[in-house]
Amino acid sequence: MTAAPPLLSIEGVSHRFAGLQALRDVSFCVRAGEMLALIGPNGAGKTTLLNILAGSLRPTEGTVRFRGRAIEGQPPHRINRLGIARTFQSLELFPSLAVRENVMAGGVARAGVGPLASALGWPTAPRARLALERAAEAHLRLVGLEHRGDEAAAVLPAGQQRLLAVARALATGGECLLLDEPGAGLNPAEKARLAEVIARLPGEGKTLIFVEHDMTLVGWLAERIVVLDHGELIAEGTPEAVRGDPRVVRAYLGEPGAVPARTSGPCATPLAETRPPADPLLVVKDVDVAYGGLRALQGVSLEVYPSEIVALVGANGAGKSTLLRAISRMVPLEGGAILWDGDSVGARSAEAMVRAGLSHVPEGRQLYPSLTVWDNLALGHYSRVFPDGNLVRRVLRRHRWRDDIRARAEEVFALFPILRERRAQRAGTLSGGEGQMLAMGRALMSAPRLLMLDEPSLGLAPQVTREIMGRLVRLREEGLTILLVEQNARAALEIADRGYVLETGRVVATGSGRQLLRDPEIAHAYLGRPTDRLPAGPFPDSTRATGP
Amino acid sequence: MAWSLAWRLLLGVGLAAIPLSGSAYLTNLLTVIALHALPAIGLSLLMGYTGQISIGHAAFYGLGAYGSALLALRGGVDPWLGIPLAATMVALVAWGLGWLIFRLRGHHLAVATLGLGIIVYVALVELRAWTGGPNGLSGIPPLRLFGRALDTDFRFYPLAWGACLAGAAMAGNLIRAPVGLAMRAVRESERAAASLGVDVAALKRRVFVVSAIYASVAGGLYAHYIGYVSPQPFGVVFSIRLIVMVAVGGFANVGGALFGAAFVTVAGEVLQGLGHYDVMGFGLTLVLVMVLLPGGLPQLLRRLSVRLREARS
Repeated sequence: MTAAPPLLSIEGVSHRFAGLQALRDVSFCVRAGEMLALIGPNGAGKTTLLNILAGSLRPTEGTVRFRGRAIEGQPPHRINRLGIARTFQSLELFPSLAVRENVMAGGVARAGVGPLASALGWPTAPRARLALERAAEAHLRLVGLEHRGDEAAAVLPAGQQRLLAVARALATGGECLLLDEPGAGLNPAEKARLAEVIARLPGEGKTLIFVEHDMTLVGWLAERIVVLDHGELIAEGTPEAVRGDPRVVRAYLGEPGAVPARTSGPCATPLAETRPPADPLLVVKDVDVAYGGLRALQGVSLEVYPSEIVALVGANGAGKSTLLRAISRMVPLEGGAILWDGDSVGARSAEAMVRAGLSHVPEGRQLYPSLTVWDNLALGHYSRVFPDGNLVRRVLRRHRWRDDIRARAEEVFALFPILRERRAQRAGTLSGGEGQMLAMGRALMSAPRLLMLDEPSLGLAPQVTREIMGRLVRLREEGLTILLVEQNARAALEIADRGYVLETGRVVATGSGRQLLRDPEIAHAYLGRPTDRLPAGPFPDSTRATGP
Repeated sequence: MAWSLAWRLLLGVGLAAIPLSGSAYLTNLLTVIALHALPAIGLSLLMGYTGQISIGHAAFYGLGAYGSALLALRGGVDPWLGIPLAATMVALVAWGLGWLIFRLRGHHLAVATLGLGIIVYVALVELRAWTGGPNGLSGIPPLRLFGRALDTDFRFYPLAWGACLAGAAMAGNLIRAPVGLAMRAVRESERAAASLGVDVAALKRRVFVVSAIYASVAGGLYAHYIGYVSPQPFGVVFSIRLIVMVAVGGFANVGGALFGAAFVTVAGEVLQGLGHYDVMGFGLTLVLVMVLLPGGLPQLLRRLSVRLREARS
């Protein structure tokens, strides 16, 4: 077995996006029939690597060999025809096509009947279609969806949509399958069902490479794990070995002592222990959020008091970003309530929340890349220039808003001096750390009362993360309230007054930052419990429909 | 798309009854509907099934008409040969444009076809030596069958509808074939289609060529039916009318495109009283259909039939 050449070999692959080294000299091999998991914290480069293997991206450097042939840089459809099929994190099903047609589409590229022959009604066309239908039926049976073939793909619940995506990839006949987060957003029963289907594939002669955040699922399936962090391969081995590897634990939870702990000044004692009788600025009460059939948050409650840092930590897909979006009114609530300053925000729009003093720095920064740093900052002031959102009135009634912008920008520059130097530069040319500073600066331009940050350390080097966390401490000492979402749990909890741990849409632990840092629950939320095993015997059958 | 037998029968009986009624006006109107339905069906393949927008299909119609007319007038080519020759030329133009455009993503096709439409229209007006300028070309010979010229409404009618129904049948074959599934996959998600081995750019280009051929053949038939062509009917306004036909028909619906062509052509007769303002009427129709009936008039009929059934039970 070891003598056989690898099916897929990744040789010194590097990839740069503008200002971001997404992958650096990654090399490893995959044997035929193997189940390999690709894990790593958010922004580690896993999806980038998958996109390179599938042909969606051309690596800046390095070679990818499939059955000994270099394939890097070929377009996706050609890579697929060589025998590599993929699924997407966002599924990319054909929503208005029937379930069966979705799977049939996996085989159309190989049907080999051209448009002319088809239009003229050549008998090969209906024959090819029949063959596709039969093959689709077999693949649907394999994933247990044969009874839903005629329904539109869009109406399937999330678990079945993931299974459908796997069936569609199988229908291409590819022997190497790349699965991008197959378990994302599934409940435990659906995950078990998916694991059962996937576990059967090597027996069908398939080789699997999958990106996954749910370490339980990884533990069930993977024979070998490759761990990426900041674009580099930091560990490779069996699930047990990798889970115990201190480098991996550090990559997920952050470096201990990476952030200067606050030992002096008014914040030395976390507010949670000596809270003045102030009213909370923000209250989240029993909030439920769902995307389509996918439960993102279930009964989540939390409070944020004035002038404290609250950290929200948990693995990818736990619902952290969704909670921030729910608070800033960008996703609707299914249940529960959000109170701002004691009032329900039920009827307010996202813009109204910004005017009320809420500022949200989204994941991935969302800068305006073709505008200058200064213009990005000025746009952050928009809600102050048009406090009632009325553009016409503002244009007619001249206002000294230029002076306001300058005054606010000075404060931002005092916090992030590098932005003053880069003032005339386009935001798209900034490095990752500068971009994050600009995103924070832009959010501060609206003079918020509560600053919400989503993954500020995403894709940043440890010393830059340290700098950013230090600025947050300073802002909080100046009286700002901060709600921080972080994958880098250690960095966040070290500066936080209080923290909440989210796991699959629920709060599983809460306490002061220090308490949580010592809590084993956190490591479990990120890396799974060591006792996790694929449940033996009959699988819960909850993903099957109960009938039409 | 699945036409019930009843609808087919109704259509067949209706089409046969029109010329038998002896009304030259109705026969002419129905012939024009057939010649509009053909490019509308082609456009439905492109827009409805493949999700690519063309705002210049009148150009292919016009090139087909002028091409076949010039072949007959200047080269003495028999129209039976001239129409496919012109269609081949149009197919090459569409292939070239598709080759340029489909390497890019997004709505470039809409802008490029709009440009093509304008270029072709201006060329038809300005290349006087060839096209006769704004006066157009007259004296285009009619098609002849068994020694008889198909030069009256009653004689041309069966040919127009034969071509139209053959076109509809071929479009139906295409959609039911694996290629049709690939087209719909491209419409829903190009990324996913490519990941399944579909060469998205090549497929779009092929469908674009097919839909241009539909327009070109209809244009050729039109030229030899009317016997006279001028640039005016081949402007952007006709392209927009074609889009309205496809929209009214519910986009991804071959039978619907036929229905949409009938609706728009009849509406054109009704709106003639508005003169040049009839375009506003079509624009308004397009907006109303998009907002109220994204599935087109077939959606309205389906809703009505559901209501009827509910009322009965």
